[in-house]
Amino acid sequence: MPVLELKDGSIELDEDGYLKKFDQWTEEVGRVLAERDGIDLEEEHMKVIAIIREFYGKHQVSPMLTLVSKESGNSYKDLHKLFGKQPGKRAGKIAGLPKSTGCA
Amino acid sequence: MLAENQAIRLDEIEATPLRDVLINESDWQANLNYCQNCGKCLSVCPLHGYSEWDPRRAVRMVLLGMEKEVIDSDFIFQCTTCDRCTLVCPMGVRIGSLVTRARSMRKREDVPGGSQKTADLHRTIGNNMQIPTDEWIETIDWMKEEVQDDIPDLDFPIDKQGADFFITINSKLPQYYPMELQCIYKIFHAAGVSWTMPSIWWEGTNYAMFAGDLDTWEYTLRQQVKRVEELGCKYMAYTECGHGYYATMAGYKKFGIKPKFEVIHKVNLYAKWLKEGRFKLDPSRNPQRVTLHDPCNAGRKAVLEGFADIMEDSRYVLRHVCPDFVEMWPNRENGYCCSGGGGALISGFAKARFHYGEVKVDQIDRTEAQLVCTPCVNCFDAIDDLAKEYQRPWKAIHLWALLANALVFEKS
Repeated sequence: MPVLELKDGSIELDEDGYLKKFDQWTEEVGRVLAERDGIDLEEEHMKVIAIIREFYGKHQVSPMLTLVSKESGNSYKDLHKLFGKQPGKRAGKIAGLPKSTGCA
Repeated sequence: MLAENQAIRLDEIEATPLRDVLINESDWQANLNYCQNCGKCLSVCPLHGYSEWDPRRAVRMVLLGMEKEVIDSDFIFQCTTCDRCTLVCPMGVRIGSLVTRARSMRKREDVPGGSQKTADLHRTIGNNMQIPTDEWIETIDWMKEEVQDDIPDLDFPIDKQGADFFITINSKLPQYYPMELQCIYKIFHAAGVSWTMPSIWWEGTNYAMFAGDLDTWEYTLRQQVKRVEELGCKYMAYTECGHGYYATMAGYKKFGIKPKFEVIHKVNLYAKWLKEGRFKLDPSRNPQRVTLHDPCNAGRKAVLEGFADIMEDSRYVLRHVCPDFVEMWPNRENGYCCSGGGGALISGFAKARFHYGEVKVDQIDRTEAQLVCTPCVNCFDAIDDLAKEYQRPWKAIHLWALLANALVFEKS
């Protein structure tokens, strides 16, 4: 199984590189996951991640990009600049959500 | 599991429901008795060499009454159901059908990964990402407003009674990258046809087929047919999805569903409209070298089942919108699976995918293409996953994106 190396220890990821447990996420975990995708997390990224995590915590499903865009005040183009191709999927992975259902 | 050198006693074989179905179910054409044990199937299988399993082994084991091991194996879920085995079988044995049927005999809770959960969501809410109707409509409208900045006269209704075209969409689009909806809007607007975006049952996938949940597969098809017929649409424009299109066309045949409308894959529509002169194009907007990946379900498997495939039409469109289009080799029915078919993307067997995806990576590398046109949402993700895993610079792109980018709209 792949592992994520952190400053103190490491955590297991699933075969697709997603966090196995939502509660294992910390800012450090987020940063290391983001680095794997060539992203340096800054304040705006963290704002989006917080929205996604709060939604998932309540509903056990990832939020639609429409909602993330509205709540974070970022247009689709902004989200694309922050997280790259398929921003919803990538942001969700960095936010520690498990791999979603559907054509994911 | 038999010990080594232990003989199989035919009079001690337990009930063989899988074999019984596969010998007697004529519409699946999976008559295993015709297997000659020649091994052609395993020689073309992408999974061959990854483990001790291969298609011939699965067929022989089912014939010998050892089907429980086949049903319990990881193999049947690592298999991408690409049907290269079926294509080359000199006796026409439908090995892909064996895999789907074997999956249907697993207990639902033992289906690995997320396919069954996805199928359950599709059944309950009409799409497999659990997108509520109001959020779906909000996303349609949001993307419409964005495209109207450039094309002010582009407009379309939701749930229009009597519209010619009912559009299906992979739920991944509105969920993760709704921008691509704009490509679809532009194409249909440029074609000048009457179309509508449905508010429900618009999902253009069918993970129930991947999970082997035959009941949900049939149920979701029937619900969608009912919705199209309620709106009185003449055509269902099927999204750029391989397995969803296959699940629909093969599913209608399997379950005896006779819709009052015609299903047409969007790629076939693009080509038709292009031939009719409906599009004004500027291909110089797509200067990168582009190659084409032929999705198995809308290519090889469509041909095997006898319904319209998208292989020639994909090329026809690409030749008109990309000045530097090059073929992979082999291609068309002989092409290789993207490595993400059959539900493999969410079955949890990433290592297997990346093992057999190496062949695809090599194919793409040889073309020196920057973009891999993938008219299928699963192939799109699989190709991008391979690029990331193997650190390649090429990336996947939908055909709707290339076509929409080349469309010229007159400024009013």
